[in-house]
Amino acid sequence: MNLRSRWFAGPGFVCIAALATMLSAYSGASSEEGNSPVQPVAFRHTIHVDTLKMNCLYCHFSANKSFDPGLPAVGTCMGCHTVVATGKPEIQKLASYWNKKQPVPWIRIHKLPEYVHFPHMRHVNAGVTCQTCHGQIQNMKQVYQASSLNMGWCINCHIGQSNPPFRARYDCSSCHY
Amino acid sequence: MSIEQEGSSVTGTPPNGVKRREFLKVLGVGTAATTMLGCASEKVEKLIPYLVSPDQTVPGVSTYYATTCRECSVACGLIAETRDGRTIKLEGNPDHPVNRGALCARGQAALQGLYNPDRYRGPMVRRNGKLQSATWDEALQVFAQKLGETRSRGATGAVFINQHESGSFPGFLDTWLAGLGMPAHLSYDADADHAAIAAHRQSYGVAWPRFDFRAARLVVSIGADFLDSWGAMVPQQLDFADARADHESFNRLMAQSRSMPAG
Repeated sequence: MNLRSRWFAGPGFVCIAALATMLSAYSGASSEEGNSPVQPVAFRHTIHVDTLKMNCLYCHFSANKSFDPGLPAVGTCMGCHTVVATGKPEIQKLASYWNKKQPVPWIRIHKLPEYVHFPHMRHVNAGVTCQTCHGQIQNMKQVYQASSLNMGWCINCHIGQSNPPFRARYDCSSCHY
Repeated sequence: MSIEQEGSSVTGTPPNGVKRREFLKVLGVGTAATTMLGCASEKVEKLIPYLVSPDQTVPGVSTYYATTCRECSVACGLIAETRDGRTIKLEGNPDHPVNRGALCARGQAALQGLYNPDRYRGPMVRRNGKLQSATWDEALQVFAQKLGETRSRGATGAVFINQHESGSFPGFLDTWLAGLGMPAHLSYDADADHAAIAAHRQSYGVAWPRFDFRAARLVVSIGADFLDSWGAMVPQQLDFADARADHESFNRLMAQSRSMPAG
């Protein structure tokens, strides 16, 4: 080892370690369990789901027919909120997005790494409730990530260790393809 | 590698490398920084909904539209696969009589034109000899002004040039042009084989007859690459394949200046 390589070895190793850690975090391999960001509009699942008993599929309209659960268009919100609770400050925030013709920039909470496929429709159509993965969303004043969404957590359900028990294939290509 | 040689040649002894204490300092700071960065929350990702959702649109589920390829004048039938309002794949339309589900490489690549980063993304107006981007309002104003000037001059010396159009649009266009007192529009095709078109007109009375390769027992081609770029190549390829399958005695005679798929 000559002078130059000796000088670079230490910091070089640290840089590589830092890069690896950042890449790992960026790829979503680490869990964000408990993550509860403040959303641009304080949408209350409590009021809509628990009090008003609205079906999840009213807003998340493609959860039973697509990989993507569907995010309600601002027009869907305004379908009711043109007349309902128009005086509330959060509704006024929503209305201002609508009037500016801008979509609400919601902050993503549940994120699987890019190398994992999660087809919502297959889970919903098999009878897995939204709460099984998303927690007691109807009681959340501010939505947080209730489950780890780690591979072990997925597998646990796929091998029938959940309550009620489900069974599904758990070979690699079920989720990684 | 010779540590002693280099060390001694630069600084003499003792070799002036990284001191143990410095190394530990760098390592300590580096580890702390790594831990901080690693545990910091992930990049904030936004979920942007539609303002008003288009009918029949399901995120993650494709919608298919039957349309027509515009890459050449053959105008093959296409099925365009779209997702969230964006076209993501083109395939031949199996029910279309021209191409019977097949699509050439150029048709497949039409998507590249749709998303080409250098494409015109809005109207351009030529000012002082240079093309400059303009708003639609400005462009339509210039367009209306020029049309008005043309009309007031008696519509002389003005033609409407467009690329090849199919369906009812050419008829609509010509009716509109006639209303302005202008002649019928001209179609521009950079790839048009004018010599062949002139020859076809003299021989058969049409610009491009349909060649029924399926009925052929012998094909003589001189410089006409009918399987690659000469004429309606996709239907010709299909017919040629059918002819070869149907007739054991099918023959072809080619004369060409370069190698081509037709052999």
